[in-house]
Amino acid sequence: MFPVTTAGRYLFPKVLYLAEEGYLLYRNGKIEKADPNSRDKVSLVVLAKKYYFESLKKFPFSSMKDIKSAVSLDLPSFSPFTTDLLFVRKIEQTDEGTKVNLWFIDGKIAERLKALSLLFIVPESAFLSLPGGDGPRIYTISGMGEKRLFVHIGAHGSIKSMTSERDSLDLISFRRLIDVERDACPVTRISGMEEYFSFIWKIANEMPIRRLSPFLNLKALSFQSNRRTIKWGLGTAATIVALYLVFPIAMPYFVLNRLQEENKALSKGLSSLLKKEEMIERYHGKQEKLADKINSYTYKTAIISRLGRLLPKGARIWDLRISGNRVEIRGAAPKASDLLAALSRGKGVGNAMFTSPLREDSKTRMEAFTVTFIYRLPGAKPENGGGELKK
Amino acid sequence: MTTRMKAGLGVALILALLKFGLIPLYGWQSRTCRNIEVLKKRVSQKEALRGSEKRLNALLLKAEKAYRESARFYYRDFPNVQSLQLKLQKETERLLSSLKIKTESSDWLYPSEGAIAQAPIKIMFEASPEQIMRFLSAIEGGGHFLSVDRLEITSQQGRAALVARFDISAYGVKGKE
Repeated sequence: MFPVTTAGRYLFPKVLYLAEEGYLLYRNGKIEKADPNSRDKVSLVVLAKKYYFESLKKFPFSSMKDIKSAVSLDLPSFSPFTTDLLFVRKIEQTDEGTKVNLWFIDGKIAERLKALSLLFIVPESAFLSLPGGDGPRIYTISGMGEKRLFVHIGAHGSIKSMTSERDSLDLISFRRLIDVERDACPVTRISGMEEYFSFIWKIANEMPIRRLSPFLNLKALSFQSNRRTIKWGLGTAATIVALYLVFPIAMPYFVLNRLQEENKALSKGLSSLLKKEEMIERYHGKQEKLADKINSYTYKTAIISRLGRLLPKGARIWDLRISGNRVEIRGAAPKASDLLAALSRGKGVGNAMFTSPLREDSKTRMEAFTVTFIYRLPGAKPENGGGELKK
Repeated sequence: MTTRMKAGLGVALILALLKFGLIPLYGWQSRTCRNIEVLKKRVSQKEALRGSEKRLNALLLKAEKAYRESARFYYRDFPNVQSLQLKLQKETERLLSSLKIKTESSDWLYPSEGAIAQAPIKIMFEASPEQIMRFLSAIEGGGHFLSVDRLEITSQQGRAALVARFDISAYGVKGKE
């Protein structure tokens, strides 16, 4: 696992150094001139000193937003050129105010950068300060064209830098200009393109990512800069949604149409067979209804015959009523409970019970009873049962 | 138009699209899928019919025979339910007279029409238990299906004859076979 805070080597496979000419610096050490028309994606650009103006200012308020607003409102008093691309980095905050470094990117180059949709635009003097720590130091960079670059990184990371024609300004003069004693900070001398670019890579590999935050180019994230990508994304999403909607509609529609046609063709071709099948169904339905009526009927002869077998000796019936399969008997028996017990045991007899109190005749010593029960012919189907005819 | 208004309109448009577009669309889709299932079943049934003419002919004969067998227990040649009631009344009176039983009273009950017409009558007579049982057997065991819906047999004090009240129904099927 690599430390996330120094993940530059993984986030930036290449870095664009933009001076008179652009150079693409690859991780493997390869350096090539950048094609101005290339649409190669680069996320990090290091901007040569000639393309920006740098200053160190103190503001009486602490909010970075307020500082940016104040600078934007009075741009001519801060920057020598008009631009809408500026970076602010907080250096130090005291009771008296906030000390910040300001970088104003040249309007012309800012327009060019816009087209590249760069995520981070870092002025080269600021880039040299990104590793942090190490205290105040000076970098002198020569061999990168006609001019030499002097960069002083002071306490808390404040930056002062300057370019000079070759040999017109030496280190002593630069120290004097920025008011730094000779022994106050060490000097790192970088000479030539290769040494400088490998130094840039070293910084890119080692810098903590959070130190890049002041140089985040928010415009690269705006709709305007990513219009093409967003258009493609929206187009793809719309296509997916359209497919998602159309497919489940179109498929059933076509399947239904195909089946309807197939069904029609089959009906035409098999019309005589279908007619026969329909007749079979009709006969079957009608037969079932007719048979059902007969099969569900409870035969009264069967009830009376069963009753004759179940009646105990000496029992008499005065009144017999049968309605459907419900039977009610009024009569007298030597022991009415014997009749009820016999009925309860009887095949096809259910719910047998006395429906009035038993009365004993003092002359005949017989018990008068009223008993009811439900009779179901064994094997008879319940009402509306349907099926084969049994009669 | 402010961004907020645009966003509001966008949300309203999406909701309207869901309500009047997507939801009815899914309703249609599920109905169509159900229809497809029904049609698939129908088509496969029809395809299974190919080459089964002999089997169908045999089945048709069997179904027709089974129907005729059931239908012969029902009256067919009657113009209306009342004529069926009259037929039933005459049939019961003929039966009673053949059993030497005198009919006390005979009434027509409310008939019911439908696929199977029911023509009920109420009949009352006095007879011995044997005569009643023979009458009942003749009713329930005749060529046509007659049902005894209600039966009351009451003994009278000091008399050997019993009073019997029968609600009998005849059934008929209207229309051609």
